[in-house]
This record gives sequence, structure tokens and C-alpha cells, in this order.
Amino acid sequence: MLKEHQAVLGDVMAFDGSILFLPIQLPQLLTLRVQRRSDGQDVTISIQSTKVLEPSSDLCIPFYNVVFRRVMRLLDMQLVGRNFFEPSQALVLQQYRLQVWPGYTVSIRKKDGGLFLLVDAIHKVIRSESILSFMRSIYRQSPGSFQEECMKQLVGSVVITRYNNRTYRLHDIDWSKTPQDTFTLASGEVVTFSSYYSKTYGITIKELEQPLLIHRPKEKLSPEGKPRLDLVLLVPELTFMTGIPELRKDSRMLREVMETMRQSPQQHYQRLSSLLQRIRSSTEASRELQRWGLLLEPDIHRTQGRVLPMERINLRHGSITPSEDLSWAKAVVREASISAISMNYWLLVYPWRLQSLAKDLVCAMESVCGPIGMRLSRPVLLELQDDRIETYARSIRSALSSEEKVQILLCIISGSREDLYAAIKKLCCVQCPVPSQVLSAQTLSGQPAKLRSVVQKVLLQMNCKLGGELWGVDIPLKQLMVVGMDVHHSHSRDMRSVIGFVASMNPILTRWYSRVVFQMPHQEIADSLRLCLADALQHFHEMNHCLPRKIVVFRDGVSDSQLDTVLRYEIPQLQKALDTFESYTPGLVVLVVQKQHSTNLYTLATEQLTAPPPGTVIDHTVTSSQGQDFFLLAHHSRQGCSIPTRYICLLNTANLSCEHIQRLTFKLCHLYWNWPGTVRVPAPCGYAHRLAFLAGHILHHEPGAQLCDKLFFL
Amino acid sequence: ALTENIMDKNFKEEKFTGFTKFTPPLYRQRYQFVKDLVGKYKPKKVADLGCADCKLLCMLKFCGCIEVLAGVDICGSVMKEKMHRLSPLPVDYLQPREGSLTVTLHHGSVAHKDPCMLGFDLVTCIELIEHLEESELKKFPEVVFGFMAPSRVVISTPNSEFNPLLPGVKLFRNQDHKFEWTQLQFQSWALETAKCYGYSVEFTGVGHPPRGMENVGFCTQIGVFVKKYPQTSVSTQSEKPTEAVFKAVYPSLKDEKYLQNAVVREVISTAQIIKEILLNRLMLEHGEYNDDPTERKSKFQPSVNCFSDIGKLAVEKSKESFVSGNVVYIPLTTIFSFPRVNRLCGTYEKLSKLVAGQVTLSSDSSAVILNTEPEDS
Repeated sequence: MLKEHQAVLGDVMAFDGSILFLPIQLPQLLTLRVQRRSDGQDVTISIQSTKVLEPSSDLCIPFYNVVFRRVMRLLDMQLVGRNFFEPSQALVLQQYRLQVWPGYTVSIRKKDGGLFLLVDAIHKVIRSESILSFMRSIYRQSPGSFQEECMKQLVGSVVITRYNNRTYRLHDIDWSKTPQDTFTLASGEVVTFSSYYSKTYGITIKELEQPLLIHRPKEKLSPEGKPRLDLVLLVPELTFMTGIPELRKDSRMLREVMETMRQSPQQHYQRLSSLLQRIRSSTEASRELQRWGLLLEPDIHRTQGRVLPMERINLRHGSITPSEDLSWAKAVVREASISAISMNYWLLVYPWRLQSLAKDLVCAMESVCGPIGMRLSRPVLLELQDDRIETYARSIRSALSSEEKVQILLCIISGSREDLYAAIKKLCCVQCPVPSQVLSAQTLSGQPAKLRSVVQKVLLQMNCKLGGELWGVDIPLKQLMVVGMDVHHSHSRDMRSVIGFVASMNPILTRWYSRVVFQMPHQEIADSLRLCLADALQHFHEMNHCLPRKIVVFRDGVSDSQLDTVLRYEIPQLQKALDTFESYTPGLVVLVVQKQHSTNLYTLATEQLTAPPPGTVIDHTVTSSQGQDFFLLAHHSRQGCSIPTRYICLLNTANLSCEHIQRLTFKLCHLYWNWPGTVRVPAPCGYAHRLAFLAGHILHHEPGAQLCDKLFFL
Repeated sequence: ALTENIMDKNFKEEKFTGFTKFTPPLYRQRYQFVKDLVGKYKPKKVADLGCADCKLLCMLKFCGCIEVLAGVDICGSVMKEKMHRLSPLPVDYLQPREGSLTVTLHHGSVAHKDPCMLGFDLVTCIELIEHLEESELKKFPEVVFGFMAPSRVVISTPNSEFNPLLPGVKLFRNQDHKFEWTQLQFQSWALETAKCYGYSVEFTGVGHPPRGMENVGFCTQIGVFVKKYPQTSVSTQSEKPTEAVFKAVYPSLKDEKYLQNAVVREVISTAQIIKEILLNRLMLEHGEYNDDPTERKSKFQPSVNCFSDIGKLAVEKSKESFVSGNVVYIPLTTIFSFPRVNRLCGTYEKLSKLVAGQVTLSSDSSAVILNTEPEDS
């Protein structure tokens, strides 16, 4: 009825049932008369002007986003999930049956510097064949384990359908159902799947014997307040998979696909400016923005950042200055690590076929261990008759049970066999806890020079697993504990999430204590966090005979919408842990770490836009006013764009200044021992991530407590 | 007769109001009626006059026979709000339709002789005429039957004799209706119009009356007009063309780019299947059994016929291919003999042309070459 008064109200309005939003100012009180269409009754509408909203008011932001989505559709962009894509510009990778669609994520947000349009140039990988064809090729390759293989490759992936614009995550496959089965429509009508698709969309399903795919929507409450436990059943023939299948995440395929998606800062910038250009040159799109008084600046926003001072890398006999790209790969293999554990009693496990490879490996290890300061005794050899999982498991178990002093286990396996890897890890992390290193024979074969560098890396990693320390940076803050936390979400059927928790145990942040917690989906983080921190503090006390005065927690894997959960549940948990100790009130800092936020940084140092140097910080203008946040680009990206990491400080009772927090964060980005250079996130987050992945994806179980003071999960 | 059966079952009768609602809803039944008609006569160009929220067009875009789909409405705002449902879906780019499809929307009056509206095979006017002002209604037959002159026209409108059975309906079913006709009124108008422009007309409807009240007629009355003679001369002069407010060109196999994609995809997957079969057979012949024994031994699973789609043909055809060194040669003629490839390309020449430069071929371009090494590792 409001629409009939366009003469007074204008044709631009948004009405949510009680509040009317207009881009124009009306008189204080307005009364309109209109006839109701349904029954012809006269209705009086009173409109009371209540408030003039600032353009950047939080209430306006959702409208702007609706408007901008309309703009994207006017530019012929296809909405898939939450982002827009241009399938007509697809890059087709025929040999892999994949297509790569260019696209954009767009949102209008309020930032400290005003209203911003956040754009990222992204891609979507999508299989160009239906899931039915995909299942057929699985069937041809492994008819014996067809159903298991399908479950492995399909469950957890996101699919789109032939007939609408929705995406679904697959949770299961119903092998007992076919499109000839029936379901009940909202109207109560009972129809078969095949006749439903034919009637509603005119689509004829060709294969009537295929199973159905299951999507379980998140539990929502129905209007009556009862939980709705609907299943969505999808027909494989009408469904297409997006993303790269989890199991294929190795291989040439991945490399080639990544190659097509890589963009230099300059290319990234060009895609953003071409979007701006397209909006400008489309009268329809521009008009849509103007209706709400929105005006886009012609170019991306430019502002001033700064670069944090460079850190020196401390090794056993001195310190070095990293190269410009902040890496020290050469130094770590030439100079002695801070501390190295001698390998006096260790097992080398290999199938007899790889006998000579094992011999070469030991030789290479002996020749490279000297410079890094490691001492190596001859291993106890465990030669296996074959490379079956049972053979590995049996031999390792009996070797470990007969001898208690084994420091570490090195296993060579042929090829990248995930099941064997998982079996060994389960055995060595859960059943008979001992540090272990699994090596694929493939990585060892090749040029002697290549073997040498592989072995160097392996030795460094084994040193970490044994409890050695590779390198450090100066940490001026005294009596400090740094904590890293990350969550691994499993898409498998049991749907448990795993929290990895890692805490530093010494002043130079080179010793770590770790814990793993499993939790059910949607379950609030129960007492587990409190226990983790309390245990870590207890351990700290045992090692240092004092408790830390300052605790800095880095919490990874939290989206903006989950910040509240951290504030309301996790921080109180952490605070409660402190009460475990008498009159103990250390300063506590909690930082949320976000890697995905579609903010890219370029630098304008040269004529072309390039990646900013590692250590670049920006803490104004593009930050959000709600909290203390900053962007830090710690790593050097050799290819592609530089996506900084966003840090949001949710709590700071330690009196640490922004500058201090930023520098500490940057220092921690130097300490991830799996990479001799700076990394994207602070080392404790990296470690927590590895740990949560190992426990959640491979072990499905908590690792043995004996391993908690070693980086066994690297 | 078929619809009658369904209707009897679904018809819900209540004692006092006499009547509540139809299942499926009446509007869906009207759309289904049009869709069935399209399925039967396979028109290539279809226009929906008074397309409103584009729901009918949206259903029709799934009909493979239609190449041009147009909608006209006097109300631009509703149409603009819903027009994006007519855009191609992402998957339309993955599995392009066989025939081309262009969808356009025009903002304008149905009483306007728009040259864009010429050449249609089927024109639908679903619940339209009762919204027309007298002057428009007068001009309407001349525009639709005289000017547009499609082979078929479908007109539906409320049957006012049914109104007493509808709860809450006072005068008209909708406030915007300018009139609602009895069966006699509609039929005489339709017969008159048909006679005047050389059409025949048959009457039917959707929404059956309750048992025992059959003389009331369908809730929605429908006239299907069929042109008696193919048009010989261009009739009246057209007026100024309206501008399309929306246009979507669907990706289709008529477009060389999408055809090539589809053909190359089919060729590669066919070649890969043949390769797998060939290598498996060679391995068996040489007694090599390199496969993981655990996999072979795994428990028997019921045969899943639907997953071995072109297996038989491929096994037979694989004999035409051969392995030399670490390369498998699969003749293009073999690939061409697979029905799906054959149907896509039509001729062998077309196949050769489309795969050239897209697939690794032998030096004389007569065979597809694949490496015997697995694709990814």
C-alpha cells in the first residue's frame, strides 16, 4: 500500500514491517489514505518521522549490501553461495574436468575511515561433470571399494544444483534410495523425485537407479519452536561439485589449477578496477547506487602503512640477519640449532624393497647432521617383508614394546599412502606414544643434491619432534606466556571439531606444551579451555618455578560473527583458569587471528603495484572501530597477492601498547620451525593448527600425554 | 480425463463455505496447462503477455524446444524485481542446453503493436484480459491475432459463475479486475475474435467445480486458439518498438565455444575410459597384478549397474586402440562411434575440427594420444 504513494514517498524505500527507511526527509507526521486491495476497505497510514540516520549508520549497512548485490546482478554476475561469479568467462581445464570461474566477493562495510566497498577478486573451481559422472569414474577406477571411495571423495564437498541457485554441503549418501522414491511436498502431496523434477523444472532424470545425496541443514527452529530435522536429498545427476576434491589435494592437478588462479598484485588490482569501471559505465548499475545516494570512488583506497623493524634470528652460536624476503633457509642448515637432541636410540622402519634407499638415507643423515649440531648414532633397522599396513603395525608395536628407550621412529613408506600414514601415526601418537617421522620414498628419490636438502629438512623436523629448539628471536617481554589456539572442523560423519591448544614454556618462546580437545558440533567450549590453560600454567610453573606475569592468547579460526562467542564463553573460561592459582592475576591479552577477510595490500613503491615488504602493518582507516584491530603482513609471498592477517584485540589487561602487540606478533611469525622464514600467522597458531589437523583428521583421538612437551605433530 | 481423476482426488470440499482451495494451487495448474501445451506442440518462439513476476516464463525456460522467450507487462516494477530469475543459472554454463535460448522482457502495453512481438509460435495471455481497460480490450484482438498472428494463442480468465463458490469474493476476485466473464460471455467473445482473424478455438479450463455442480464450469476458463491458415501477407503496420528491459542469452551448444568444450570433454573422457580398459587388459595378459591386493579382496558389493554406463561399448571398442611404448593411441573414428560424441558433432569432420589444438593428437591427427602414466601423481 505504501507503494501507491510514490508521489509523496518517492520510489525508493525499504520497509521491514514497522520501520520505513527513505532517502528523503518527510514532514514530522504524515497521514495517508489508501484502499486495501483484498477487501476494498479504507486504511489510514500514519508515518512518524523518528530519526535521521547517518549515511554510515549501522542500520543502513544491510541496505547498502542489498543494493550492491542488485548492482552485481545488473552486471550479469551469477550468485553462487555468497559470492558473484562469471561462468561465461570460465577457464576450462579439460583433462581434469574442471572449470575455474572468476568472481568477486563484495560487501559494504563501515571502517574507521568511513564506508568502504570491500572487494576481492576470487575464483571458484567447479567440476564440469555431474556427480553421477564423477561417481561413474570412481566406479571404473575402484569397483571393489566403490561406496567407500564415493563417501571419501564426496562427503564434505559443496555442490550446486542444475535447477536453482543454491549450494549445499554433502553430509552423506543414501544408497538405498533412488529418484523413484517419494517425498512429501509442503502442500502434503506425495511425489517421486523424478516426477517432481520433471513437473517443477521440466528436467527428465535419465538414470533412475542412482543413489541420493544427503544434505543436513543446520538445525533451525520452526516457527513453533520445534527443531526441524529436515533432510535435503539431491540427485547426483543434477548436482555438480565445487572446489577441488579433498583427496586430490596433491598432484599436478592442484598445481595447475592454482597456477590459473594466481594473480600478481597488479593483476588483482586490474580486476578490481575493471569492476569499478563496469559499474561506472553501466547506467543501470550507477542509477541503482544513486537511488540510495551511494557514490563509488573511481579508484581503490590509498593509505599509509608502516614496516616493523627487522628481527635478527638467533642460533646457538650467534645471530644472523635474514635476507630481504625474510628467510634464512641456508643459515639453518649450516649453523647449529639452539639445542639439538642426540639421536642415540632410534628406529628406522622400511620395507625390504627400499633397502638401498634406507641405506642412502642414513648416509645422508650422517653427513648433514654435523653442521646443524645434531649427533646421530646408527639406527636400529626394522626391515619389513612387505609394505602392508598390518606388517608395519605389527613390527613397530613389537619393537616399541620390547624396548622402552626408543627416542624416535623414522618410517619410509612407498608412495603417498594416506591409510598407512594414518595407521603409523595412530600407533605412535596414541597407542604407544613416541615421536615419529614418516617419509615417502618418492620424496627421497632423485638427485643426490635434492636428497641432501630433503634430509636436512627432515633432520631439523626430527630435532623439533625430539624436543630440540631450532632458532629464536629476541623477546624483551619478561615472564611471558604465549598461547595459540585453532579449531579443525571435520566434515566426516561424526562431525566433531577439534581444538588444538599450544602454550610457550620458556622465556625465549622455544618450548611448547600442547593439548587437544574434541567437542561435539554446536557445543559451547565447555570446561576444556579452562583445563588446558590451567595445565599449561602448571607445566610452566614446574619448568620455571614461577607463573607468567603476562599471557598473550592468539585465537585462530574465528569469523566476525563468532567474535561474540569468544568474548562471552572463551575469555571467561581463560580467566577462570587463572583462579586455579592462589592470588594470581596476570595480565591477559586475547587476539583473534583472521586469515580470510578479503583485504589485500599492495605497495606503490614502484611504478607497478607490488606486494608490500613483510612486516607491513596498517592499523588505521581500513580497521574496524569496534575493536582494536590491525593488519600485519608477516610473510613474503613469492607468487600471487599479499593477503595480510587481521588481528583483533578483544582483551588487554596486560598494559601492552598496540606497538608492543604488533611487534610481538611479528616476532612470533618468525618462530614456525617448519619454515625457515616468516609465516602468515604467529607460530603458536601454526602449531595449534597442525596439532588440531593431526588429531582431527588423522588420529581421531587425543594424542598420548607423554608427547605434550614436544612438537611431535610437525 | 487424466486431470479429472487427479482433481477428484485432490478436490477439497467443505460443508459451509462450499469450497476452499485447489491442490496444486490454481496458478500452478494454469502454468502446467501451458507447459503441457508447449510439450505437445514444441513451439520455438513463445511470448507471455502480462508476465507479471515472470513465474510462467521461468518454468518455460526449462523447455528444450523454445529458442525465444519473451515477456510483456505494463507494470515495470514487479517485472524488474523478479527478472533475475530468468538469468542463466551457473550450471547452465557447465551443461549448456542443446538449442539456443534468448529471454527478453519488455515493459509496455499489450495493446501496442510492438515489432519485437512478431514471429511467435505461441502467445499466452494467462489471467490477463480481465485486467484490461475497455479501450485496451478493444484493441487487444487486433494486436494479438491480427498483428502478432502466432499459430497458437492461449487465453485464460476467471469464470464468474464459479465466484459464489469462492469464499470472500464479493464482486471480482481481484481489485484490479475490470470485469469477470461468465462462460457464455467469454466464449462468445472468443468465437467472435477467432472468426474475425481466421482462428479456430477450443474451450477448456482448470479448477474443476465440485461434484454435482458441473454446470458452473472450470474456475479458470481457457480458450486455445489455433490459426487456420499459415499467414500469407504481413498485416498491419507496426508501432514504435519498445526497449527490452531485460535480455539474457543462454549458453548453448549452438555456440561454437560451448560445443567445443562439450566435445573435447566427451572425447577426453571417452579416451580415458578406453585407455583404462586397454591397460587393464594388457596387465592381465602379461600376468602382472600390480593392483593393491587389499582393494581386490574387499567385500563384495551389489553390482551397481548405473555406474558402468558405457562399459560394454568401450570394452569392445578398445580393441581398435593400441599401446606403443608409453603412449596409447585411440583412433578418432573409434571415439566418433560413441553415441554421445556422435550426437554432439554430427560429422567426423566437425569432430576433427573441434578437437584440433585442444587434445593431443597423433602426427596425422587420426588418433588421440594419452600417456600410459596416471594423469595425476
